[in-house]
Amino acid sequence: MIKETIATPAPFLRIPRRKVNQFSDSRKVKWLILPTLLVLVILFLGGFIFGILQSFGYFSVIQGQKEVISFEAYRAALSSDIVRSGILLTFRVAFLSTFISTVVALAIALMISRVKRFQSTIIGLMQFNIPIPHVVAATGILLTFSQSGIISRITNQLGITHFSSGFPIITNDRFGYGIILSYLWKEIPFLCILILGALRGPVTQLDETARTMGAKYSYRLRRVTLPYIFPSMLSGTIIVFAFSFGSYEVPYILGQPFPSTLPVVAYQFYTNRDLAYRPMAMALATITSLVIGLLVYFYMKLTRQDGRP
Amino acid sequence: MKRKMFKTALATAILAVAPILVVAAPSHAVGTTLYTGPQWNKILSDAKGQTVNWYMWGGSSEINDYVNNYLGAAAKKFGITLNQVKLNGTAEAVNKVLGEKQAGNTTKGSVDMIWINGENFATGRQAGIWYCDWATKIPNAKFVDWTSSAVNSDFGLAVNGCEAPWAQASSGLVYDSKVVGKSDAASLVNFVAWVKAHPGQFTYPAPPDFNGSMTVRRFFYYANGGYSNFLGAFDQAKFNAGEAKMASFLNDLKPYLWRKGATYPASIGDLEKLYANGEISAYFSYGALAAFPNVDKGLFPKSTRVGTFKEGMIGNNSYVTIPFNSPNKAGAQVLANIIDSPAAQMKLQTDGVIGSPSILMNRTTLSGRYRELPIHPSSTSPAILAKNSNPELTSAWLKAIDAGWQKDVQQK
Repeated sequence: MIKETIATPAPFLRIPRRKVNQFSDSRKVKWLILPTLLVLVILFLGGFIFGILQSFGYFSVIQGQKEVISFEAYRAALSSDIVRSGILLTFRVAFLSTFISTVVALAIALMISRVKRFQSTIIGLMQFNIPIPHVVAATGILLTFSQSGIISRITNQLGITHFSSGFPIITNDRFGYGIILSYLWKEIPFLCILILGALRGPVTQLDETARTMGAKYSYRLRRVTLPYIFPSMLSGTIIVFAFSFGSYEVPYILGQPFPSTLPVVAYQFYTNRDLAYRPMAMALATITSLVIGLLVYFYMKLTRQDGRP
Repeated sequence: MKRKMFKTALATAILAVAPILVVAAPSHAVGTTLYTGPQWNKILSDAKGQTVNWYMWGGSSEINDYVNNYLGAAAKKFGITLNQVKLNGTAEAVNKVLGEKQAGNTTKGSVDMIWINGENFATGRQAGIWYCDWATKIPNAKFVDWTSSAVNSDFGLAVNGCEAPWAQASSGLVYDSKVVGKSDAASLVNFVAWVKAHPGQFTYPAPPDFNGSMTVRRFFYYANGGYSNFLGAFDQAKFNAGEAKMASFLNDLKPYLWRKGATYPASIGDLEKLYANGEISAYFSYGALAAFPNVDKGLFPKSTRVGTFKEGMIGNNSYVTIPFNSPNKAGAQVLANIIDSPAAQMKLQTDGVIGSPSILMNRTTLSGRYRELPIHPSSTSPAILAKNSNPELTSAWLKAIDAGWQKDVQQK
C-alpha cells in the first residue's frame, strides 16, 4: 500500500532497509497514523460538512432570520461577475503554471539525468527551495519583481527604465503573471525531483538495453523513457494543478483584489461585513473542494492502476 | 446639531478653553452609572490570573509594541496576561465568534476582546454576539464623553455599553510636500486637480479595506456636494442617485490613478509601501497621526506632511468590545479600563500609535501636559485634523457604497 505512493524518495533521502516482520510493521504504521487521521477527520471533515451545510443555507448566523434551505447561494455566486472572472483566472493560472512547470521540469530532469559528474550536487541544489513555504516565495517574488522591487531599482539605476512606473507590471497584474511566476519557482524543482526519481528506476536498464541495440536518444526518449515516467509525471502534475487551483496565499499576495482566484473570492465573501455573503463563500469553497476532490480521485486511480514506482 | 456638540466637546478637550468644564465634568458625567466600589473590586479579583486574548488588526508595529509592552505591562500589575492575537482584518475575529456561536459555544469562547469599529460592530450586532452594559460602568468611563453622538453611537449604531472607546481617529491626507504643494493640499477641489495634473501619484486600497472604504466615502460625499443628504437610515433612492455620481466621478479620476486605476492595492499596508517606495506621493489614511514614526524610521521621506482639506476629512472613534461568550470578561473589563486611563490615552498620540485620545483629556489630571504636547514636523495636531470633519454613515450605507464601488468602478 505504502509502496504505491508515487513520490519516490530522493536518492540522498534513502531510508535504510530493515528486515522486519511485514505484518507487524504495517500494523504499527496504522497506529502511528491514527492521531493524524483523527485530527483530519474531526477537524477537516467536520468543518467541511459544516461548510457544505452552510452553503445550502443551514445555520444562518443572522439573528431572527428564518432558515431557507436552497441552492440560492450557488445561483447567486455563479451569477456574480466577481466569481465568473475568478473562475476564469483560477483556471488560467492553474493550467499555465502546471503546464509550464511540467515541461520545464521534464527538460531539466532529462538534462540532469544525462550529466554524469556533480549530479547529486545539482540535485541537492535544486531541493533547497522545496521546504520554503509558498507565502515566503510569493513575498520574495513581490520584492524582486514589483514596480518598486529589486530589479526595477537596478534597471532604474542603470537608466534602462525611468521611475518605478516605467517598469513592466509583473506582480499584482490582471493576467496573473506574478502568481504563475511564484508557482513556477516552487513547482519546477518539485516536479524535477519527482521525475528524476522515476528516471533513476529500472528505466535506466531498459534505456541501456535499447542503446546497446542501437536505438538513438530521441527514439529511446519517445519509446522507452517518456512512457515509463509518464505516470509519475502525471500524478505530479495533478498535485501541482490541485495546489495552484486551491491555494489562497499566493494569489492574495501577488494578485489583484479583482479579478481574484476562487479561494481569494471565497475569503473576501467570508469576511464581508454583510453576513448574507457567508453562504456564497461556503458555496465557492464547496465548488473549489469538489474540483480538487475530483483531481485527487484521478490521482488515486492513476497511482493504483500503475504498479510501477 | 449633534456634530456641533461633538466638535465643541473636542475643542474643549484639546484646547481647554473652558476651564469651568474641567472642574465640573468628572463628578457627574452624564448618562453614566459607574460600577460601585464592591462591584469593581469583585471584577478586579475575578480578573486576577486571567489571560485576555485580544484580537486586533496587527499591521502596525507601533500598535503592536504599545499593546504588548505598554498595555501588557500595565495589565500584569492586575495579574492579567494580555495575549495579542494579530489579524489581517477585524472581520476574522468577528467570524471566529460567529463560528463559536454557531457551534453552540456560549461560555468558553476563545476571543476575549476585539478592537473594532462601526462596520464590524454592526455585523456582530446583526448576530447578537456582544457582551453589553459594561463600557459605561468601568471606572475610567467617567473620562468618556458619553453625551457626544460621536462616542455613544458607532457609525450611527447605538453603543449601549457594548464597547469602550479606544482611540479617536480623524482621517487625513498624508503627502510628500516636495511633490504636493501647500495649496494643492489645502482643499479637496485643489487636490483633485493635482491628482489629474500628476497621473499615477495617487491611489487608495480597494474597499472593503477599511481605509479604501473611507477614501471612497470621502469621494462619495465630494461628488454629492456633502454628506448631509445621507445621514440617518439607509435610503435606496438617495443611494442610487448618490452612487451614480460617485461612480462617474471616480471613473473620471481612474486614468490619473496609480497604474491608471487598472488595479488597486489590497490593503493599507500595501498602500504605505507604495508611498514609502515613492510610487505614489499622497494617500488618505485613518492613521494619519501615526504616520510620523515612519518618517523617523526612515521609511517615509522627511518631507512627509499630514493635513486635512478645508472641506474636512472623515472622523470616527474605534472601540474595544467583549464577545458574549468570553470566559474572561472580568479581565477584559479591567484591560478596557487600563486602555481608557489618561496616561495610556495620551501615549496613543505622543508615541504615534493611533489617532488621539478618545477620552476628554481636560477631565483628567494630565490636562495641562496634554495641552503642551509638542507636534512632530511630519504630523499635525488632532484638533487641526478634526477640523470640519465629516461623519461616518450607518453600516447599511457603508456596505452599499462598497458594493457599488466594486460593481461600478472596480469592475468597469
